[in-house]
Amino acid sequence: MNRPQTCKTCGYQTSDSVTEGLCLRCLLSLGLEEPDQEDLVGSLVDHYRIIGTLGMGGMGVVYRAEDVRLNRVVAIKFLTERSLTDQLAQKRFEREARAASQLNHPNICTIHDVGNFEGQPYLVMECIEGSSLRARIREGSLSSQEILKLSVQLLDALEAAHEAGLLHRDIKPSNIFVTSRGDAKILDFGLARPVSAGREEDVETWSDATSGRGVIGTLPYMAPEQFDGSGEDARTDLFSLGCVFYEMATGKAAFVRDTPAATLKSVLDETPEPVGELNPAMPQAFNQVTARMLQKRAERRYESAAEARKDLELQAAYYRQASAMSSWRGRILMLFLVLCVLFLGIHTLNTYFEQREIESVAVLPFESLAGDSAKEYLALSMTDSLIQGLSPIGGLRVASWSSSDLFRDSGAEPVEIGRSMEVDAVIWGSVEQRGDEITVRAALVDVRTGKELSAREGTSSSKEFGNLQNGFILAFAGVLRGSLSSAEADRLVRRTPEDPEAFEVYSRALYLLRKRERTDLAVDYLKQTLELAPGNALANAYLSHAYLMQVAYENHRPRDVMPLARSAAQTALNENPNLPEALLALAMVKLSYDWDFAGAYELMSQSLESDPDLPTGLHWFGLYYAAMGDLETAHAMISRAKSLEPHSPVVITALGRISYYQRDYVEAMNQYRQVFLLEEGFAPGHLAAGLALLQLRQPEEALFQFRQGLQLGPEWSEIFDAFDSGISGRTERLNQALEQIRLESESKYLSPFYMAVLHTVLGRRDEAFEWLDKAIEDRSEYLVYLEVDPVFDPLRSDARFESALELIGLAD
Amino acid sequence: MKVSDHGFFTTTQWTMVQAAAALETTSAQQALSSLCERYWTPLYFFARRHGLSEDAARDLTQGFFTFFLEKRVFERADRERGRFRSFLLTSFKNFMRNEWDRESAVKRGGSSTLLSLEFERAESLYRIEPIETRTPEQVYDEQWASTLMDRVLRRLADEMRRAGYGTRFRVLRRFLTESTRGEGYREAAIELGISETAVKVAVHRLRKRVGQLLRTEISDTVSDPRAVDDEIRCLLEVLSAR
Repeated sequence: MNRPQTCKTCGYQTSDSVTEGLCLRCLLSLGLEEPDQEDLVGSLVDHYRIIGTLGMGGMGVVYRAEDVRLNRVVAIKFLTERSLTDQLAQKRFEREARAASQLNHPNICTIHDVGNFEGQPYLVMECIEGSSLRARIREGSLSSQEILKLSVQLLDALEAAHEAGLLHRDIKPSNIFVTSRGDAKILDFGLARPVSAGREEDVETWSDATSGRGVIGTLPYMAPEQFDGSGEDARTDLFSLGCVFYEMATGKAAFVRDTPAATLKSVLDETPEPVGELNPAMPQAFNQVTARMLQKRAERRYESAAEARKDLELQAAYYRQASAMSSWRGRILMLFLVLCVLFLGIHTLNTYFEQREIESVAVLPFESLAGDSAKEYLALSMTDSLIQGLSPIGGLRVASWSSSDLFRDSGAEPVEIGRSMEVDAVIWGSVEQRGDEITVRAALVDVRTGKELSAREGTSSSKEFGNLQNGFILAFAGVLRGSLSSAEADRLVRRTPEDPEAFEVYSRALYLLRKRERTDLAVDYLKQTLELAPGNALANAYLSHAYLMQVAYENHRPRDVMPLARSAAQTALNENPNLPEALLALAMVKLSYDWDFAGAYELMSQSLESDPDLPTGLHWFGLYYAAMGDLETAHAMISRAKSLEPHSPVVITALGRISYYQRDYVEAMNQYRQVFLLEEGFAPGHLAAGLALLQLRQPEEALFQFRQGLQLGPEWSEIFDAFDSGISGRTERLNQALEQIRLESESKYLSPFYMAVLHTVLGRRDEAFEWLDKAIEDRSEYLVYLEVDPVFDPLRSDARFESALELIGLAD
Repeated sequence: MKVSDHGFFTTTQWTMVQAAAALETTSAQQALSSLCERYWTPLYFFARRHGLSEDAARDLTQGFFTFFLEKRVFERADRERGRFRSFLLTSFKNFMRNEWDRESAVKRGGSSTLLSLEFERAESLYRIEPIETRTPEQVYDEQWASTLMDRVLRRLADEMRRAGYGTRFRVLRRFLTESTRGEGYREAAIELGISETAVKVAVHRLRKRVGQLLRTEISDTVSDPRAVDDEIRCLLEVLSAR
């Protein structure tokens, strides 16, 4: 007997009898004539650049797109042209737009925008990575802890919807998404209606049901009052959600029976088998909450989602603590917690749990009130130090410099910006300098409630500015996570140079490094910093980064520069042995220069331990995994870096590189296109895109990208010329360019790795191996990716390639 | 089937049946038999899902088709609301409710050889379908979709074989749906001795061809070829509701 399979794309459960493993639903979708669908990819719809297709259903198509105005990835749902003639479809679409756009909640899929493109209405929604709850339930992969967490979030989301005056009316597992971070998102408000709506709406729902389009499938999740005409209210959604809770915990639907009539009877009359009997791992209180939500008579259920959530949160908190504390000490603390519940009463704890922890914060660019552009670095460094200082806090995502910088001068309200950035809280403020006195004012606001959590003002002399910054870091860290121990405080405080002049050049250096531009100048600035603030660990760490970038992006000879990178990183570590930036720099030297992979792994692990959310740490650790051939882990690591720093061209380029190594060139190009939207002329992105396009057999496009990328400096001109003439078949010109490279190689350095790439692409196998040998001799930066780099596929069958891998230490 | 460029005059096999019914032409009768023969399996599933035994469902389905063709039930079809799928199911339900009883069904169906129906194959398909939560109507619609797709994939396999691309179809078939798209292209390219890009192009063409064949197949069962999209969407929604 064939086993049913669940389609990874649409979640449909198909048996492989007729279609032999292919999803029947996806096959049917192929019949929908959507001539524009493929065409839309790559095109601009108003200010959204379509970058791929996420899915297609009966009613519409959902695309992944880039909002070029706000530089963020979104999902765009189009009603198909043919659905425009379908009044029901259109009505649902409009209703979804109207309803969901009224809501702003982290567990409800956000509608950002609605529009009309050449007569086709569309919805712009947040782009969510993950899978449907239905799929997760079918996989049977939800732990008790996850179920509790999702349940609390879903109740919280319903509470927000009800408070906004909306009933969802179609709560079921397929309308709930579980993000890759493990959070719930309620989707599809297509059947929502105002809490106060009259009976006409109900008639309409029934007409939907009788037409067989949409509501039939929700029968097992409908509350009894929806059948007997006694009216719907918030408790109706709670019943449906209770069905979802039951299904999450037991793996089976509470009321589904063989026929609709039997299902209806079950909804109206039967009490499902208690959760505890089917899944003893679920806490008793969860089972009680679920049972109360599933009461047949609405008046016996909770009055509101808030009430149910409060009951449940207590359990979720208990679980969090229990998993964190398995030691004796933990058990004693747990006992204390239980006693707290007994003695202080549930009400007190409810009040405590209402204050949900802030999981993400954005530091918006500080305003400079100096009126002197030369002093703007003060505001920049204040922003920067808060971002860096708060990021090591466990469980707190700090939106990156590149993300918050996009909103500089946007004129939008901070809370609005925070919502756009999908963070729980924002920090913003100003820096003012009068004479030698610097005043900083800053506020921390909960975006979800609009409530100001802390507002502070501090003044210092310019020499003490570094300390003033540290004071703000600690103050806000305390508000975000309660009081800090002295060890924790020490970990958060970054010892940026205190001398104002040193600080200024240091800030300028960091700016250049983040842009991957003029690293020579960044090196000069950092050297100046160290002259003014000798031994500063951060400055040394970043000096090491600058050297690494010279090799990676600016064609410096590794043998000249890597020892300097090593030395700077080691100096930094002597000063501060746990500084993640320094650990990473040394790890990178070990990975790409020493080929000491075990050493690199150890340092990268230490760095990640020191700061689990440092995007550079995740990004570089991902590169380590790529070099080791574990592209899946590499992708996961860099994706996580991207989630923390969604607008960083460097990180997105790295993600594109991993897709490229995975031979998914189309996806690689999708990533690179995002990079170009963020930062036109980002050279590393153009170079990487050129290589992907070569694999896609688009040489003209590839050359265009190389041309863009190699505008960096004259040192690239010959190799570009060689690529150009080689690819376009101008042999004579190619030979001239190669001769020129040979002549000039005595006076200036050109990475032999690129020459190896060039000859491989041109099919000159022997020359490619000659250059590969030279690259090994020079320990070129990208050699460690030799095993996974598709550009070398034509060489793999040659024994010389295996020898090269052995020399680098990459052979099996 | 003939479809004009401007859509002013369009016919499908189903409309031909309807229009020609009054004239009693052989071609109309053949067209109808062909349609019935294609789509009896969903009705058999419907009957089974209604709780009928294997024998009873077989007798009922056979009896229905005899009745359907002999009594010219199709003449009652409303041309404006013309989905053959819906019409067939409605007629079948009416037949069950008003005219059918086991004895007469056996009597009518037992002697009939109007249609050759492979009940054993249908029964084996029925037994492997995941049906535990579905209504008979859903089972009917899903089986309808499945039957359609079966025909489409068979036609495509035939086409490919005739064109000398039998192996290519065998290797690339699994890439037809999104969930496998892009994964394993390299291995397929090596197996077929063609480039990865050629694999991508071939898969794209296969997918397009599946779409075309499906539309052709469906257009035989709707009164207006412009309704093909509606029919596909409707089937997709039925499958979504599962």
